[in-house]
Amino acid sequence: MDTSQYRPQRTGWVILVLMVVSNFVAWMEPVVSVTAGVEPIAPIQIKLSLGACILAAALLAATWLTGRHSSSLLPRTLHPPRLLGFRIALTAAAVNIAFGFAIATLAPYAAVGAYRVSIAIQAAWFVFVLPAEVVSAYLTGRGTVRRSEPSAQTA
Amino acid sequence: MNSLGDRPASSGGFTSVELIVAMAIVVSVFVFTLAYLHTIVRRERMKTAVREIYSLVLAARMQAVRRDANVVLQIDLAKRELTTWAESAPANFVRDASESLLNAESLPSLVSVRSISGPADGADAVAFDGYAGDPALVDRIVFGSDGAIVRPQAANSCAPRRPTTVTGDVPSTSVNCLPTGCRGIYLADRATGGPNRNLFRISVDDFGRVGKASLLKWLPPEQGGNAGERDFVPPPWKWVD
Repeated sequence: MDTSQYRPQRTGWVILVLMVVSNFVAWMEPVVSVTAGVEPIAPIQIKLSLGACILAAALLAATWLTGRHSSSLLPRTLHPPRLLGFRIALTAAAVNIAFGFAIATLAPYAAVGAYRVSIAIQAAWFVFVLPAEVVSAYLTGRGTVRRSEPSAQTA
Repeated sequence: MNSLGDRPASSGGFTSVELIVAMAIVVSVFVFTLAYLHTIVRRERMKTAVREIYSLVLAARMQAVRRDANVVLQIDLAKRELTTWAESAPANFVRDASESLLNAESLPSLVSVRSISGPADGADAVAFDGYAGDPALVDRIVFGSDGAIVRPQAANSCAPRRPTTVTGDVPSTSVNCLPTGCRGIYLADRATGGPNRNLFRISVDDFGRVGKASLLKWLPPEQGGNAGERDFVPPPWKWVD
């Protein structure tokens, strides 16, 4: 029995969960690892961090499903889509960890300069990392389903 | 629903694979959210407890200045209670029947009072000991009418020293407690463990008689403190677990 044909379905979820989990490192780790003093964490900060993680997870799941259900042709440069999606996911996860480390180092937001840098990093996450993860999820979705070949059906 | 996820691209509905993947994402979000929220709540409670006790110290000092009298803040570790009263003449640092309480608060249950190397509720957990030649007068901060403290006399209640080396982790406003002990109220988030715990120190008059209260956190050498020292540093603090 050829089991290798099912391998893409088995690894797709790993790619998605990797991105979802690494988002928590970028957003939540700075919140819990450093404190500027005994003042409580601002509720807006917790809401923003959790909201970003949940938004990203919902977007990734939706985009992955869209990719699986899409029938449009992919450009040749995006082949094989699953491998490309995996590489983008790995890059996004690495950037997430780097962001989390950078913010945790720059925090506690006591200095205005550090605060601005953390805002810039979080903005960069929305501009670069989140779209990259969405693209990765779409490509992973395209690559994790075996479609019927039109030529084989018509032959 | 197709069990293998093997379907034409144009077909509708969700396969079991898609449902499983969606569930994996939901579960991972749920687990990580819970884990982080649990950590946040635990640390916020610790911060709240430390802030409350620090506020009581500040309030006692203000009362001393306002009343132009000695005010005593006593930490009763057996009852886990903090009480404040103003001394009336003669000042004996003990609450007499005629001296009414200014404040009485319970120690939060999650806070463990312990010094760096001592046990929970040990002799050095609240190192403001020995007044007026009486070694039995322990675990109390006495503010004079000028806002500065009446210096405790016990060996474990000395003033701290400045750190030998100022670094990025140990700024100039840090203190270095000698192994024999230095005065302070030591509040930890757990009753056991070595450097792998969060330990705060509340004290007054670290350097000079100005009545300045300080709230610092232990930074062991393993986490960036100076080698061979017991450094307590001002914020920002890094939590350890």
